Amino acid sequence: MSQKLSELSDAEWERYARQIGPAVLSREGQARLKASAVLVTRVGGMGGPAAQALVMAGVGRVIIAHGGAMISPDLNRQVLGSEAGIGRLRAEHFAERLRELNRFVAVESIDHEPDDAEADAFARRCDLLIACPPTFEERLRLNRAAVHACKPIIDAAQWGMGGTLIVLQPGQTACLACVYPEQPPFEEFFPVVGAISSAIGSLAALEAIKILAGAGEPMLGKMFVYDGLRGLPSVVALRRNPRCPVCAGSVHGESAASDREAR
Amino acid sequence: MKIQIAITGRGYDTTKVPGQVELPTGATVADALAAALGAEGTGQLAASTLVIAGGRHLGTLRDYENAALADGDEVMLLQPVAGG
Ligand SMILES: [Zn+2]
Repeated sequence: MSQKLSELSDAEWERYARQIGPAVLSREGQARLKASAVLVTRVGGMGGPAAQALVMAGVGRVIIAHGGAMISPDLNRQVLGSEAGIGRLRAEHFAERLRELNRFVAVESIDHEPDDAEADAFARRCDLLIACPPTFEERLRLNRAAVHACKPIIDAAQWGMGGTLIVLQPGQTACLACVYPEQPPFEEFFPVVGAISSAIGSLAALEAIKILAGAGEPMLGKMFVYDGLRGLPSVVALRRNPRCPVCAGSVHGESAASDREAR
Repeated sequence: MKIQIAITGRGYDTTKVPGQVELPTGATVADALAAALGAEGTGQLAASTLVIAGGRHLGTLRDYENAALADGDEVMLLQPVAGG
């Protein structure tokens, strides 16, 4: 986030009028959103609704990463997709859909999942990361990048009719490797109902907006679990592993200033 | 004391556990899991499964804090989910 808060035009204040006031965002918070950049990796079932909500809320720069071309089964949950988009590159198609929603923000897209070096570079450039990939390998890579850059990371995940949402601030809370010290089994063709994808993705965006705008109480260091099959929500306090190979010894804020200069 | 048992996350439909087990005072998470999972024990679940008790994350089945339980606590096993 740049030190000097961005000024918003009259048209922008008009756009965001419903989300500025008591119980929502302050004007300064809205300006902070405009000055923010967020990376969302995989903009399918969860990342799509997350990116959509960030764009509509006025996050100044939303960067989306997603590889491959759209296929028909994507459309049970990938809200940025469309019938006309089947066969097209997802990243490009999704970015077009996002740009239609808000002319006041910038949307960037990359057509693949970032590798280690790219993840580190994006984490330095961005103020927050949202991880929605299907593999733990990719989630844990983004977590490492977030810890290196000392940037908050939100992990959104789904299976069947349930999901989990993890909100982390490196240096203050556990990191994802504290929670998943070994990679859980990967399942390529996992079952999922789009309604849970959208719910978890939207909550990820809400937590991101709160963190970026300095509003409310973000669920830092917690995991929200929704067992949708039974309709049961839980909130779990996550423990930090003092021997975590990724985050042990990291202290919040140590690299934030140098990252700003690097942007 | 009565301990609630829940299993959620990936494959929540395949592993059956009783909703509640009755344990003596001073019982721990490991006692609750032994009572709930029967002869097959925790071996039927991935070692990466999260162990949660009373709203606190205690680690994974491979390595967790075997905390003492209080009457009414819930022990939750969460098989990690990813999705996309
Ligand atoms: Zn860690």
